[in-house]
Amino acid sequence: MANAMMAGRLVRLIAAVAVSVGLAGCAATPITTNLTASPPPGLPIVAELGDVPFFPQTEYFCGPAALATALNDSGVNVLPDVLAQSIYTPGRQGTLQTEILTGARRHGRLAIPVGGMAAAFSEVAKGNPVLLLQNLSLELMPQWHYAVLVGYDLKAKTVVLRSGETKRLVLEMKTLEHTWRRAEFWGVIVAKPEGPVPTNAGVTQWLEAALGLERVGRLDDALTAYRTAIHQWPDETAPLIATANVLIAQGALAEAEGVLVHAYNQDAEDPIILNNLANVYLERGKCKQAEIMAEAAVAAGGPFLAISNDTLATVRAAPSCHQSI
Amino acid sequence: MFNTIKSKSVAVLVIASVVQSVVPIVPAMASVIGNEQVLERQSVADSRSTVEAFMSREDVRSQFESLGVNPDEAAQRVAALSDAEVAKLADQIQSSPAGQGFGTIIGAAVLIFIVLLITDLLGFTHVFGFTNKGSANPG
Repeated sequence: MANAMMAGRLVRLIAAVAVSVGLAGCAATPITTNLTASPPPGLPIVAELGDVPFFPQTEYFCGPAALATALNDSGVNVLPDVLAQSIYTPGRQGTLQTEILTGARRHGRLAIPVGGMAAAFSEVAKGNPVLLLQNLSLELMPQWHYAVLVGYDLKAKTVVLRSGETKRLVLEMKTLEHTWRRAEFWGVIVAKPEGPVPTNAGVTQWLEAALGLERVGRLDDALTAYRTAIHQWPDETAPLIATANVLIAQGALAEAEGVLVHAYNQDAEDPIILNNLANVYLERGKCKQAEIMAEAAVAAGGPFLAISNDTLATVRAAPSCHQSI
Repeated sequence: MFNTIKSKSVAVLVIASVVQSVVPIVPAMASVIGNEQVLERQSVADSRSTVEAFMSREDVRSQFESLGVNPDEAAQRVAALSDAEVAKLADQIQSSPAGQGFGTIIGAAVLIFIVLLITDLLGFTHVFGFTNKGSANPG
């Protein structure tokens, strides 16, 4: 009798705690409700990438395991233990989000952000697994975890993850929504420099990810990624400027000139294109054209005016140009 | 008179050396607007932000070392980051999410265990593998 009363009290206490830790606030899963009730046009009801490899997690190494899964799927053969040396931080007993990004860069891949469930499902349907961060526990005592989304079923309201020690973890879609929301829907696609470009990626995201490849010294990979952007977004001039800059760094000036002229034909008033083209013309001994471009760059103004002024002064002072100008 | 000529020639020498240092040997390369500037819309002329970025990088690098990452590796990790990523990490390296998976709940009190068990069963959380309903291969 006393035991039953105690038990009753305990249940009430637990219920009270459960409510007070904010369950009332996080009980709704509007995205799951919307996606399953009215699937977006063009999105298949079921998709699963069965061929995505699996690396079981050991200890705190869910970051290396998840990144190894995504990297191997994109053709980079690397084991979690090797990745751990470059993305695991002992003092935090885990892997920071930025380390996932830099880990991909250091293996010649672009980490492209994917925000939210609808975008993630459409990527999975296109063949791209999504590496995501979950908070498996409550906000009060977070338990951060990386997993890779490889499938979903809008009818069964489930998702499939490569997660921890489980190769094919089938999770209720609403649980993914809860646990992913607590990590602000942070997720990335690991993409090859030659593409395909993820469906939801914008030109800026792609170029910034490619710049990451430059930062780790992978110029050839960066160049490939910038050229992929030229094909993907033919109306944009930024991919052309970026491509030319790598070519300049590699000493391929004739090619750089061709790319910048292409950019100039698209936008003859962009001070960056004008300034950089002036520099390439000068290096190639085309002094008159260099001066015309440098003058136009100065006239165009903008935040890089100081550099354009330098360029113009340099062109006018260049000894090799004195005869021809 | 002699002094004037001497000081003039010194002045000419000084000017010549200044001009030489202003006009680099490979002029074109020095004035190209690079991809960091193009994509991060960051002006080279803004030296304050350059200094801040440098300090943040040093800060993050030493924090990585204090978290047990060896110095060479710490330097490589920082080099791979953009200025924006460094700035964010500088403030949050101790507190930002670090995915780890298991282990953190082991020492938790019984009450917390029961709360998480209930939230797991309701599908709000996913702390314990054995509560996973419908898994083909529960872990």
